[in-house]
Amino acid sequence: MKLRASYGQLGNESDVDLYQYQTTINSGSGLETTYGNPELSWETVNMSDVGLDIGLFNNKLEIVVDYYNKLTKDIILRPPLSYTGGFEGKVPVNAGKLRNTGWEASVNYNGNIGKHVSVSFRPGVTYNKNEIVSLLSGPYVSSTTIQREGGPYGGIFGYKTAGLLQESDFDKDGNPLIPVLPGAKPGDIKYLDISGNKIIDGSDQTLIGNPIARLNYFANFRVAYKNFDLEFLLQGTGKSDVVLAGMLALPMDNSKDGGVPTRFYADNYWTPQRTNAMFPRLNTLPTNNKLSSDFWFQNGAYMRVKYIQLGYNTQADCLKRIGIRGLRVYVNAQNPITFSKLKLTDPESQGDQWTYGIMKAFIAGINVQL
Amino acid sequence: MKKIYAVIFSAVMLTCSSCEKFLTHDDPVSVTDDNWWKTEANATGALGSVYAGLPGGSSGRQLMFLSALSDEAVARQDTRGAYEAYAKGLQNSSWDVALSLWQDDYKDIRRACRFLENVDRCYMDSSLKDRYKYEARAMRAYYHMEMMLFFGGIPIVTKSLEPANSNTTRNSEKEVYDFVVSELTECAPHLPDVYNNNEAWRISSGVCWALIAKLAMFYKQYETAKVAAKKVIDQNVYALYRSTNTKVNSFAELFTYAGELNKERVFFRDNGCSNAWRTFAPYGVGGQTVVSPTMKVVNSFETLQGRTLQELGPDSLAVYQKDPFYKNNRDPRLVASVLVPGQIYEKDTLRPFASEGSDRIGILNSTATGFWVKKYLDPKDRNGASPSLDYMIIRYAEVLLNYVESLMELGDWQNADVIKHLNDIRTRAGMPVVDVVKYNTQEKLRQLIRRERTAELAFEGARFYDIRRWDILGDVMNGQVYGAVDPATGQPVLVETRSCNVQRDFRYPIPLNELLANPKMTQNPLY
Repeated sequence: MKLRASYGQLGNESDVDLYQYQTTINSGSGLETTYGNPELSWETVNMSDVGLDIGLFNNKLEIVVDYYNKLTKDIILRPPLSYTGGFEGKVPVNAGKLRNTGWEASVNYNGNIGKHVSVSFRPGVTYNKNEIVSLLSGPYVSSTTIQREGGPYGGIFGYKTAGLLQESDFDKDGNPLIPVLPGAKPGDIKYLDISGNKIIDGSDQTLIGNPIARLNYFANFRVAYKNFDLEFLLQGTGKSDVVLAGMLALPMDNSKDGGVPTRFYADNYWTPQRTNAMFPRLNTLPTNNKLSSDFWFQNGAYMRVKYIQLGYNTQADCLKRIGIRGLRVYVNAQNPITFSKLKLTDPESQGDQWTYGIMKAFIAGINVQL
Repeated sequence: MKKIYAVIFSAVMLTCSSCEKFLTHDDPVSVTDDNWWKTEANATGALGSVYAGLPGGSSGRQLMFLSALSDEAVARQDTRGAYEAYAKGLQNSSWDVALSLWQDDYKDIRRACRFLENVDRCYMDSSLKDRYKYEARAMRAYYHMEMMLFFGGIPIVTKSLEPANSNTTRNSEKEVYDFVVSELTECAPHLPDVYNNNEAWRISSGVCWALIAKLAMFYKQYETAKVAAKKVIDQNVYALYRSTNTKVNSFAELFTYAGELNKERVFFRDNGCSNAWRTFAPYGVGGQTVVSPTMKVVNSFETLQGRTLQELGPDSLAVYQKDPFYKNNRDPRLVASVLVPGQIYEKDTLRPFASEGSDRIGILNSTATGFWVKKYLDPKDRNGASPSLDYMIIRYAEVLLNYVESLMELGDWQNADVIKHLNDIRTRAGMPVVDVVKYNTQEKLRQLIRRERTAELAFEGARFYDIRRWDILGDVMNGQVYGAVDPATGQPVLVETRSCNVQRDFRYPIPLNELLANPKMTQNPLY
C-alpha cells in the first residue's frame, strides 16, 4: 500500500497561441486580423493530488484511487465585445479562475480460479467537476453558451421551459393568459418568464445546462476457461444535457431543409388531443420553438457494451497432421448493446439528422496458423 | 582573478538589463499598423475595405429582400434570412437579419475610422489623400444612416474604439439624423461630381445629396429633401436611361447587362446582383425564387392607358387579376418586373398551378405566390460563367420621385417640375404622360406619386421605408396575402397570414448578443 500526495504549480501552454500580445493587420486591406493584448500573461495551474495505491493478494488485485484539485489561474478567454466597436475578432484576456476537482479510481485484477479458469478485469471510473471561480466582468455569453461565475465551463445558455403551451393557457379568443412569445399558439414551447417582466424576452435566458458529463467509466473483462475465452469492454457516462437539434427536433421546417417527420415523430407531436406530447405542434415556420431552451434537453447518460468476443483456441493433434499448427475460431460484436434514454440520436456521436450514427458490427472468424 | 569576476559580473548585468527586450520577440512575419500605412497603395486598399461593406441587391445585405417585409412580396427559405418570420410578426432579438446588419455596418464604420486615423502616415498625393478622407467620412455617415432607418437612434461612432472601452450608448434619433446630414453636407463639396467609369462606384457629391434626400423623406423633412434632391438634378450629371435600341423597353433594359453602364445609377454596388438569377429566377430555369411578388403589387400597376384597375371596375379587375398581361395592356414596368403564370420565359412555360413540374407553387425553391420577380434577371446569367450585374442602391428615378413628392407634400404640387419629372419617368417606361385634368388636387397627386413609386421601384426595397413613412405599415402588413389566381377555384391563392404590431415592427430589434455584451445598450420598444 502506498499513499501519495503531490502539489505543483506550472504554466499552462496547451491551447495558448504565440504572439497574442500583438495586434496584426492584413497586408492588403489594412483590416485588423488578430487583436493582441499587451498585458496578457500565461495561465498558471495549481495542481494538488492525493492518491492511494493498494496491492492485495500478492498484487493480483491492484487498486488506484486519486483525488485532485486543480485551480487554473488567469485562464485565457475571449469575452464577447459590443458590436458597435466593429471589431473583426475578439481579444484574449486573463479572465479568471477555473477549478477542476474530481477523483479517479481504477482496479486491476489478474488471477486464476482453480486450474482452468483465468480471470482479469480492469474497471475504471472518473468524476470531474469544473467550476468557474471568478470571471473578469462576466458573464460571457455567445448565443448558446455562457461562462459565468459559479457555473461550469461552457454551460448552455437559453430559456427554461415548462413543457408545451396548452389550450388552457389561452382564453376563448386565443389570447394568452400567461406571458408567451408573439404568435405563440397551443402546442408551442412554454417558456418561463424568469425575469418576471410579464413578457418572454432575452432577459429570461440564463444558464440552463451542462453538455459535459461529469462521470465517465469503462471496464475491461476477460475470462478464459480451458480453450475458451470471453472478453468484453464496457463504457459509459453519467448525465449530460444533450440538445436535440435539426430535423429530429423540428422536421418540416421549411426555412431549413424541410424534412419528413419520422414515424416516431408522427406519434409524438402535440395535438389538442395529445396534450402531453414529446414534440411541439407541427409547423413549417417554427421560429418560436427554435430558441435555445431546456425543452430540447435529453439525458445523455448511457452504458454501452463496446466490444464482446468469444473465442476458441485449439492446437489439436488431428490438425497438425494436416499441417495446421493452431486454430482460433471466434465471434465478436461491436456496440451490440446500449442502455440509454436517447431515442433519436446515438449517445456517443449525438449530432443531428446528418450525423452518421455509430454502427453495430457482428463478425465471425477463423484464424489458421500454418 | 578579481578582474575576471568583474568582467563576468558586468557581462551578467548587461544581459539582464536587456532581459525584457531579449524575451520579447515580435512575430517576424506579422504586419502591424506601425509598419504598414506607408504608400498610396496602402491607403487605396484600406479605403477599398470601407467600400466592401456596401449592400447588394441579392447578395450581402440583400436590399431587394426588403420588399418581402412589405406588401410587395413574400420570402421563403430562411437560410437567406428569416424575412418570412418578420412579416408574420414572429421575429425576436435573435432575428438574424438585424444581427448581420448591425454587425456589418459597425465593422464598416470601424474600417472608415481606422482609415481616417491612419491615412496621414501614408506618403501620397495630398489632394488624393484629402479626397479619400472625405470619401471615408461620407461612407461612415452612410453606414450610420443605413442602420438608423432600421433601428432608430443608434450609437454614433467616430473613432476606432478600444476593446476595453467599447460599450457605447445609443444616441437619440435626432442626433444621428443631424450627424448624418451634417457629415454628408460637409463632404459633398469636396467630392467629385463624376468619377472615371472604372471608379464610378465611389461616393460622389451627388450620392451625398441623394442620401440626404432619402433620409429627410423618411423623417418627413420635406424642405431638406427638396433642396438636396434639387442639387442632384441641377448637377446635370444624371439622366434616366434611354436605350439606343428602339425595339426594346428602356426600363426593362436598365436592369440587364445591356443597360448596366448608364447615367441613371447614382450609387451602386459593383456585382451587387451577380447572384440575382440564382436568387429570383423560376426553379425551372435554375433559380431558387427566394422572393415572390404578391397579387397586390401586380394589381397596383396601371393599364397602358394610365388607368388603375380600381377605376376600371370589378369586372375588368377580375380579368386583369386572372391574366395580368391581358392584351398586353399593362404598364410595361409590370412586364419588366414580374413573371406571371402561363408566361413562357427562357423556353420554360411557367405553370405554378400544374400538378407537376418544377414551377409548381409552394414547392421548395419555387414561387410561393405564382408570380416571380423579373427585375435584375438577365438570361445571360442562366449559365453565365462569371455573373457580374451591378445593383443600383440609388438611381436617378428615385431622386426625381423624392423631389416631386417633397414638392407635393410642401404644398407646391402645382410646381411645373412635378409633372415634368413624372412625365420623364413615365414616358421612359413607355407610359402616357400624366393626365393633368384628372390629377388636379394635392391629394390626387399624392395618390399618383405613391403609385408611381411602387411601379417604378418595385422590388428595389423602397417600399419597406415608404409604408413606414406614409404611416400605412399597420394597414398593409396585417391580414391575408394573396398570390395569382388559381384556375381551379378562379380565386387568388391564399399565401400567408401576416401580423404586424406597428409599435414594435416599425423597428428592427437590437440584437440579443449586443445587449448581452454591452450593458449600456437598450432594446427597442416591445422586443
